[in-house]
Amino acid sequence: MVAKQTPKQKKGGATPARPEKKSSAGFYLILAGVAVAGAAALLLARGGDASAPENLPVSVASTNVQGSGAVGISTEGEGAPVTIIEFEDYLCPHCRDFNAVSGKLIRREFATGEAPLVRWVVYEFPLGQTSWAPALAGRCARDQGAYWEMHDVLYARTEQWASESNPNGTFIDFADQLGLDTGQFRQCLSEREHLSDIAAARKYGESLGVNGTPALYLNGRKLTLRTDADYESLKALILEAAARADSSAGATGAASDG
Amino acid sequence: MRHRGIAVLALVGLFISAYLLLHSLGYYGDLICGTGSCEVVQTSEYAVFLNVPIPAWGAAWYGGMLVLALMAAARPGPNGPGRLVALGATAGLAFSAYLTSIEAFVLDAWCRWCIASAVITVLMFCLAAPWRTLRSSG
Repeated sequence: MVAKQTPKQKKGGATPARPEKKSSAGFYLILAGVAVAGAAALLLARGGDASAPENLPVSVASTNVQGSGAVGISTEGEGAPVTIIEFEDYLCPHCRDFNAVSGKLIRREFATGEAPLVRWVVYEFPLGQTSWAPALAGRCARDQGAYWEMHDVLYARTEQWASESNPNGTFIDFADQLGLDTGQFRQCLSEREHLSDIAAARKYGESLGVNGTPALYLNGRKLTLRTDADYESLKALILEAAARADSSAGATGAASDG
Repeated sequence: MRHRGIAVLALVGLFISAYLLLHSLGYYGDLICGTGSCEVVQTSEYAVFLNVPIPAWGAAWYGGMLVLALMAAARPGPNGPGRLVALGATAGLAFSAYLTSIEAFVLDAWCRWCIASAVITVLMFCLAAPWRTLRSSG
């Protein structure tokens, strides 16, 4: 009997194990509490966000391309019923993804032709120091009427220039491939005269409360990137806004006729 | 005891990473950020590392640290996984310092969730005490 008890005690018998078990139970309770609280917080954060798009402030100058002294870069179509303002950063992966598909398709489908439905206005919103150089390249291409071409190339070939400490040589290659006057383009880059335009564009964004990119506004309403900015959602929003503008124009016409 | 503390902190960090990861995958709209600049940080080029979103790295690290800390708590002593916890905590602190320096010196923008994560990482490092653990087991 005694011989059987000795090894049991050596292994840590019932009496000394009790406080250990008690503290283990307490620890696992704390862990479970944190797990439950964390899961609840994740669920609540998701639920609370559902109403966010409707609650966003509608304080944007809806159709004014010249905002707070900043000059946006716009597609054709001054009288278009829908204006989309985009704040972007060429180094932002979400901007690249958005412009690779939805942005490009929407611009091609709705912002071209004789009477486009959409006027697309871009303002640069450089998030980091390295984002200024491509923004400048875009502005310099714009001087030669090739903004959108450069815009698309900069996004499509980000990996070619993003890691360079001075990517201007690559930008000049892009300009050459686009058939631009590389001398003029090079001079524009080196004079950096458009930096003040980009700074003004960023300041304009800040004044509207932009805190990330891409930030999109459709006729003054801030869109939520996660839910509004895929091609189908954006298309539906554009058609809805155009129909609304059309019906209100009709009502105004009828009133003035009467 | 300290490994249990690390486990609790890792679980909190795991939820923060999960929130940021779900946001980057499109499950949430705007981040709940208060007065910070979360979107600036989360949409910057530095929000992705080796083609994987930073929150996914964070979730993997916190998840790994949680498992290791639970194992170390269950099997204390120099032969247990305490050394791995210490090494993981050191690596986490180094990466966190890199990300915080990006916020401070490159983006000039602060994300509260990232700061919270950085604080948790520092606390985990202090609890893991690699200067003690690695020396005693070496």
